[in-house]
Parts: sequence; structure tokens; C-alpha cells
Amino acid sequence: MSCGLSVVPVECLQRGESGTIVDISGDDRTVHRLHEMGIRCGCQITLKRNDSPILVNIDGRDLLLRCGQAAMILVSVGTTTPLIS
Amino acid sequence: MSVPVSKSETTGKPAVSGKKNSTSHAIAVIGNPNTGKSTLFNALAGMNAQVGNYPGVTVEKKVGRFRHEGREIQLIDLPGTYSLSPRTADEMVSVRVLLGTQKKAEPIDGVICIVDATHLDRNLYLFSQILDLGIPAILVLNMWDEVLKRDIAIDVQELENRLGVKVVPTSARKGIGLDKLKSEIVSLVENCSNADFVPPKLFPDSFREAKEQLQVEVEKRTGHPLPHYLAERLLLDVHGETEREVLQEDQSLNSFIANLRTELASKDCPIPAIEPRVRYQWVKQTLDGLVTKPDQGLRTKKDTLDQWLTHRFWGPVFFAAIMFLMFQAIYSWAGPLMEAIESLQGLAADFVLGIMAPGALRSLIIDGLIGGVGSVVVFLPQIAILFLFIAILEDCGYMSRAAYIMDRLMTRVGLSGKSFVPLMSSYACAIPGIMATRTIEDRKDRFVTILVAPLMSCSARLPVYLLMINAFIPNDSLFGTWIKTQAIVLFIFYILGAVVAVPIAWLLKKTWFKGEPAPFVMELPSFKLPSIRVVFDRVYDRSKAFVMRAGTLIFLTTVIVWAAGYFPGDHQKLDQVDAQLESGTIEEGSPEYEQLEEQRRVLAASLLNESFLGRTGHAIEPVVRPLGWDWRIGVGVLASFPAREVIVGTLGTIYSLGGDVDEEDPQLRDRLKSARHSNGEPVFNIPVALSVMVFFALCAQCGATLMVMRRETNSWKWPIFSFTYMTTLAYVGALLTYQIGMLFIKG
Repeated sequence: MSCGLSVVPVECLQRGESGTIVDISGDDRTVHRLHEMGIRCGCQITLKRNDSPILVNIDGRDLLLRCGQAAMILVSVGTTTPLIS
Repeated sequence: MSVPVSKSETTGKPAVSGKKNSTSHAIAVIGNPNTGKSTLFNALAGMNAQVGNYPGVTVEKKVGRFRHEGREIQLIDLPGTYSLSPRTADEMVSVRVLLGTQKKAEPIDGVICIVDATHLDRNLYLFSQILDLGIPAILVLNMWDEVLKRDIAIDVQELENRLGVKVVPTSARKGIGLDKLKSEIVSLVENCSNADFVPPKLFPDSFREAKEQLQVEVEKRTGHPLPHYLAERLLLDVHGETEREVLQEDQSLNSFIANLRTELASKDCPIPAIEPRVRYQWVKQTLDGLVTKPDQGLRTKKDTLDQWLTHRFWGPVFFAAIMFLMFQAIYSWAGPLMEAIESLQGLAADFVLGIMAPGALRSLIIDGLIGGVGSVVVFLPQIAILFLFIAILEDCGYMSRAAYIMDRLMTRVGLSGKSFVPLMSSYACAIPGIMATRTIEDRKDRFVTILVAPLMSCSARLPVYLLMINAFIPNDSLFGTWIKTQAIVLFIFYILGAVVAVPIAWLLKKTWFKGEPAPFVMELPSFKLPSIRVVFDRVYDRSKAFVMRAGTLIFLTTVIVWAAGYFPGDHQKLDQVDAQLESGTIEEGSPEYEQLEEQRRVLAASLLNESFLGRTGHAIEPVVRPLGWDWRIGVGVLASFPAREVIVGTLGTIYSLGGDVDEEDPQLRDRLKSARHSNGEPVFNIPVALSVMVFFALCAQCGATLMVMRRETNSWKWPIFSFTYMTTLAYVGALLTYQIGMLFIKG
């Protein structure tokens, strides 16, 4: 149905799907830590494996991530195909 | 001469200036994790770093040295970190070292910051904090070989101009740029080339005003000034270490700080979000137009490899295959080397026999030294192979993939993949393993990992396993010729500790350390071919530590055990028999010779029985008898509580003193095979050997590990707990093994 840009938590990406981080919300300390490690808005993020923890590639670097309840990374995906057919 | 990116900040005075004319200077080394910092450190300072601890914290103090152009430079290694925002007392150490206020650390003359040149944008975050400190600095663009390989272009000259500090491209793994870096370090300490450097102004005016207000207030209330960088941290790190320390001095500052933060938030300067915002803004400005990367088409091969190695099914299969290959290698590669050491050992014994008359000193050398220490050193080739495998796996980046594969298992017991690398290193030695738990931020996870780490089969257990397996497990081939039963038994013992650790960790997480799996982020270093130099250095380092232990602790223990087994007792008669046997007047193999040998055996055995060792052994025999052990094993195990690998040496000494074998054959495994109970039954059979191995697999026989545990948990409670639970486990495990094993033999 919907086309264009959609924003989803990183865990909800498809395997191999990429997007841009648009928001990181959650508890200040965790978010600050993520920022320091270079995980921040504007980064290109690709989901490589969606187990827990998820394996992502952020700007060319592989990271294991499990934010749990502490933080949520929101990603905007430029979908060109309809989400629901 | 320097062109800072933005206007300078007047408050940021250099913390250190060209203070001394002496020829020795101290330089701190800092960098993000996975930037090759320790490789560079070793490449600069060689392998002779001194390792110690800072008082009261668990941070390792590592100091190396090098001489260049007539200057002596001291390198102080700081732990790898993404930022200088101290959240714990441990993280505070790095800040203090850089500020020159750390106890037991001399003031530094400058700092070199190691960054991964292929990911400059992220790594410069830490560097911007270092610039804030106002210390003379050099930026080291490490992994330059990767930059060239990937066709990344970086305008180093312009970067230098914009930063106002020297920028040196290096590749520690390939040895590129090291001389240039040394020269730059020397000229940094000579000229203090950026003494007139002023940190870039990053934060908005409102923040700087608040910070100055805070500095004034803190000085007013506590009576001493707060350095500019710590004032920044005090504002930015909510519940951070700076805050904790300042509030400890004056609790009432709490509301003052809280007010400042609220005020700042209303001026579009939210705490702590403002920090990454301004720093990354600065990084972006600094790097603008300086770095060009080609499209990332080059990574596909590594990506495919990664896909397979982290695969749900093939990942674990590959992991198991690697582990099995390792055990197979320990058996098949080390053989010739071991034989060489064993024959040297035999030659040495023969030599001493030839030149010395029988007596106490000769007994000490042959039974204590050659029989004791020698039987431990024999295992060096196998231990080196184990270290080689672990070093290769670490260096090529596979270890953290394995952490990912194991995460699913680890979360079942309540831990996370982060615990995997410390546990895996514990297979080499629990001490570095326990120290590696510092990367686990969650305190509960960290403690549980520390408590189960000693269960992993460390290299000191290997000699015991190998000795018992070589002597008592038949070496049949399974599935063709390639897989040997001995390797399988070794493999089983290697995973035994890990298997037992599962319910223990689960129990601990259910009782004392309840809690949800903590949020975590872990970086996977990219795959690379292991560097021969790095791998060799690590194997050499660890093997050296093993030999040093054999040379000191094990030597001491074996001498004590020898003395306890030699005294009290009149050895005159035995020495006479020995002299007769060696005189050459009686033909070897003649009935008279055999008779003398028998007399020697009886004499030696009765002397050992009546020695201090024998008396102790007989006293504890009722306790170890249910495990299938004789008193000699009991004494050996007792003596090996300070360090488990001692058992091989003490058994060597005990069985040698007892005269169980003729001296032409000094190999311990043959001595064990021929050992007899007083009723003539062999001491060892398969259940006894297995029972000894199970005991060693599970017991906490390592004083050094318990000490490290105390240091890392800052309490005696946990080492005592570990010792108790592991020893109980070991006893029960050995008991069950022997009793069940005997049922099979009898049945």
C-alpha cells in the first residue's frame, strides 16, 4: 500500500536491508554510549543477522547490538516496493 | 603556526609543558579498541614492558621504553576506549594519567592517540576529547596499509594544518612509519611543539559559562580547583565518576549541578546529548573534503566469509571443527619436539649420574630438578601449539565471530556473548581471562563470568591430561586412521569444564546475580590475515610465562616435596646399593644385579614411607582412597593446590624417590605405569587416571587465579566461594568417576 519513506526500529529491518539512522531514543546513558561509539543519526545501517543480539553493519563496521529496553534505534528505509501488496 | 579549525578557547591551558631537561620523557598511548594499539605499543617498545597495577583499581599499568635520537621515551599504555567520559573508577584512571594527577604515575609530556585510519570519522571523537585536555598530542593514523589497499585517499598534510598537531600514518602490523613516529615523539617532547596550541572551541557559550560557574562553585565549596576538563565531565556525565567523586566531597553540590543542567537544557544545550552533537560536528568540519573513499565493492569476499562463519548452522559446525583441529594438532604436531625434550632430560640425568656419587645432592638434582621441573617443561611444545591457535584466532578476528555464535547459548544461562572472549582466553589461562572480563559493563554478568572462568581448561591442566592420557588411554584409531581415541578423550576433558560451567552460571544468575541480559554493543574487527609477528610475539610471551612459572614456583614446590620425601631417613644403605649397582663390577642382568635392584626398591620405598611426605600421605589416604588414589597421588594433589601443573613435577619426584623404576628410564609415564600398591596391584588403571583428570578439571588449584579474583571483585568473598564450590565439585566428580568406572571394570 504505502510507498516511499518509512521509519522502523532497526530490529524490524529485513536481513540485508539498509537504511539511515534517524533517531536514537532511550535512557541517556545508553544513548550517550552509543553516540560515543559512532552509532548516531545519519549513519548508514545494514542488518546482517536478526538474531538476538542483532548483527549490523554501520558505516562499514560490524557491530553486535542488543539494546533491550534501554534504547531504540529508529531507521528510515527508502522503500520502493509496497510493504503490503 | 597551527591553524585550529575554529576559534580558540582561552581556558584550556596545556596541562603539561616542557618541564624538564632530563633525557627521559613519558608519553601516554591511547586509542579506540580494535585500532591495533597494543601491536603498535609492542612494535615501539619491544616485548619488555613492565606490567603493574594502579592502586585501588583494576586497571593494568603497562609501561614500555624505547630510545631514539639519544632520548629515552617511556610509553604508558592506557586501556582501549571509545571516549574519555569516565563512568567508573577504572575509566577515571586514564583521565587522571592524562591530567597528571594519577597516583603512582609520573606526569606525562604528551600523548599519542592511535586511530583506525579507515574509520577516521568515528575515531576522532576520542581525539577531540584529548585536544580538550590541552596536552601535546600526536595523531597516529594506524592501519595505513588498509587505507592504501582500499584506495582511500586522506590528505594528511591538510589534516595536520587543520588539527594543529602532527599526524603520522603507520602500519604497526607491517612495521610502516614507526621510525617517523619515534622521531615525531622525540621532537614533541623536545620542542613541546604544540605548547602554544589551544583546543578548538566546541561547546556553545552557554555551556562554557555554566562550566566556569561550576569551577568557581566547586573550588569555593571543596577548597581546591577543578581542572577544566573535569568540570566539563562533571556537567556532561550524569551519574558519572566525576560526579560521584565531587559529591563525595560535598553532597550539596548535587542540586547546584542539577540546576545548571536544567538551565542548559532550556538553552538548547541538552545534557548529555550536546556532547556528541558538537564533537561530531567538529569531526565533520575537520574532515570535510579530506577523505575520499571508493565505493565499497571490495568487501564482498569478506562479507561472504562472514555470512558462512556466523551462519546459524554452519557457524557452530565450523567452530567445533576448529576446536577439534586444535586438539588433534596438539597431539600430532608436538610429538617429535616432546621426544627431543624427553631425550634431553634423559641425557641430563645420565650425565649427572655419571659424574656424581650417590647422595642427597644427586637425589635433589635427579629426582627434584630433572624429574620434577623437567616433566613439566616436556609439555611446552603442546602448550605453545594451544597458544598458537588461540593467538591466530584472536588476531584474524574470528574470536568475536565465535562470541556472536555463542551468544545464543550464553543468553540461555543468562550471560551474553561478551562473556565468551574472556572464557575462551581462560582456556589459555584464567588470569588474563578474568582480566578480560573488564570489557563486560554489566556488573552481574562480569562477576558470574569471573566465577566460572577458572572452570575452563587452562593450559596448566594440559600436562596432567596429557600425562594420564598418554600413559593409560589406549591410542586406537576411530573412523579410519585420522581420529585417535586419545585426542577424543582430551577433547572431552577440554569441554568438561565448560559443560559444568553452564549449570553453575545458570544457578548464579538465578540466585545472587538476578537480572535481565544487559544492553550491549560489541565491535567485530574486520577479518584480516593474521600477522606472523603479532602471533609469534603472543605465543612467545605466554610460553615464556609458562616456563618462568616452571622455573620458579614449580621448582620451589618440587624441591619442598623432594625434601619432604627425602628426610628424615638414613640414606647410607641406599647410597651404598646405588654405588654398587653403578660400579660396573656386577654384570647387568645377572641374578646378583637383579637382587640388588630389588633391595634398592625395598629400601627406597621404606625410606619414602617413613619420610615427612609419607607420613602426611598416609594420614590423608582415607580421604583420597574412595577416589581410587594411593597416598602418593594424594600428596601430589595436596602439593598442587598453589599451582595445578605442579602435580606432574611432584608425581615425578615422588615416584622417582620411591625407586619404582630404574633410573635409565626417567619418563614419568612409565613410572606411573609400573607403580604398585603394597599388595602388588597396579596403582593406576583407567578409572583412577580419569578420576585424577576429573579432579584437576574441576578443582580451583591456582593461587594466582584466586588472587586475581580478589583483586577484580575487590573482596575475599568470591575467591573463597570459588575455591569452596570448585573443590567440592572436584571431589564429588572424581568420586563418581572412579566408582562408576570400577563398576565397568568389575562388571
